[in-house]
Amino acid sequence: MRTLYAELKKSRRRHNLLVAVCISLFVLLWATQTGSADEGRLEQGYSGLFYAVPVMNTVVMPLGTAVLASRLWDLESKGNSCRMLLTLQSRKALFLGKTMVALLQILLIGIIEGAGIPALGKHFGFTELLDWGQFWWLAISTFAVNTMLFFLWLFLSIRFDNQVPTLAAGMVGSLSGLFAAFMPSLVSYFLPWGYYIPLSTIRMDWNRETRIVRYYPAPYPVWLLILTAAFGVLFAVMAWKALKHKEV
Amino acid sequence: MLLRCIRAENRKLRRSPIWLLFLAVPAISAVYGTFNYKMNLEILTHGWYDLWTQYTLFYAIFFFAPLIGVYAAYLWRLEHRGHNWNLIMTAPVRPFCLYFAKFCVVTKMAILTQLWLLVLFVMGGKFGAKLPGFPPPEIVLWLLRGIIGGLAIIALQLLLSMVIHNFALPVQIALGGSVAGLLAVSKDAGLYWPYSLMIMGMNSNRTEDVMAGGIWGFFLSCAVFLTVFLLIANVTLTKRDVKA
Repeated sequence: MRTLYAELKKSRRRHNLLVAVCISLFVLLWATQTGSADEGRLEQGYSGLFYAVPVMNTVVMPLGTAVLASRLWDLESKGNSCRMLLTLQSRKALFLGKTMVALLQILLIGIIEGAGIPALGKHFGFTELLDWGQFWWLAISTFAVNTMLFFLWLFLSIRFDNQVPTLAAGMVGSLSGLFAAFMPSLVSYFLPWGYYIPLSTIRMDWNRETRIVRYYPAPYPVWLLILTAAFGVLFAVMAWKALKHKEV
Repeated sequence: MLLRCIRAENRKLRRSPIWLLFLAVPAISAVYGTFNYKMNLEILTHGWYDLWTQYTLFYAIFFFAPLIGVYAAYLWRLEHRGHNWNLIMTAPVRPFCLYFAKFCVVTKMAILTQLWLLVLFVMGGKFGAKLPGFPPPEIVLWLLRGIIGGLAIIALQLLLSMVIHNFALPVQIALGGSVAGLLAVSKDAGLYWPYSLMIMGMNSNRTEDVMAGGIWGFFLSCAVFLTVFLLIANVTLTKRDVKA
């Protein structure tokens, strides 16, 4: 608790929580423009959102989580405070403190995004009933991918004090993850930063002649969620090892 | 004095990791663009024009501004470390020269990025999509317009990176600005939002020219935004007190 308190104190006036809030609000704002609220599409409004939000997350979250990780570690590298800090607390405590603060931010992003979906439905008057199974699946899978990516970017931030590699990887992750969505599904399994889309359980069928969009549910890809969690553990271990062996 | 500042800024780019990003972002767009073009040949029937839409769709909409954001943040990063801000504010140069030198260097990077995209486009069209002939001259015009539209983004990102003492946040703001830019273009309000200008200039996702007949409004908007951001930077640097 003391470590967490210390990390929260360090974040004062850095507005890290505000950054997290802005990231999720930004996705929600974008979601208002997806056409789910157009006339004639209200009966598939929630399905439209469950389809669109993972695509938006693929664009926003890899870079967003890279920003969170970079800001958390840049604080120490910019002030050259690691040497002094590690005489006062163990490396394990420092790592756990950073992880807890990051998880809080990622949870906040998930809560705002999650709360936004029924709110948007109410605002636009969707006639489709909200499928809570789909809702929780989206919330859990988004949280899992965000956490996995955070550990990957934290590893890069610790490994290279210069924050360019972390941000560059976040950008390339966003770009390649988005492109993978338009390529054969096999490609997307090789790009963990784009897992938001293959984890989505809503598919779209667009009829070229009638120009009608129809959404339909797909089975929950539980194995991919387990793979995401496994990647998350792997990246967390890599980040911890990088901090453990970091020369200060 | 300005030339000396530009030379100093150029030195920062030597062996810098941002060159990797410079190579990667257009290259990923090119691989995707060529692949997607070949997969949709039955609906993409306008040859080089359709290939252009596939190359620039996501590059211009989502990733050009964050790329500029990284270039700008990288050039300001050194000034924000330690007591370097005090050092540059006491240097015998006008503070605005420091900003304007960075502006020139990021503009150079943006031009190189666009040229790299053009090279990839020609290679992808000839060898990947196996298109006949060479790209139509409008493509070069759209690239040039993209650079002009990008000038306001460059000035704004440099301003943000100067004011915000953090590397990552301005890049995230650039992504947010780009998505808002896409929404502004879809509502025909692109001329009123700086991040939309590059999207409009590049004519991304359209085979016909989106600005046919309205080019002067585009140039005027670019000039107004650029002037405003340069003026704000000048005033900020002149009036702002030195902070250690």
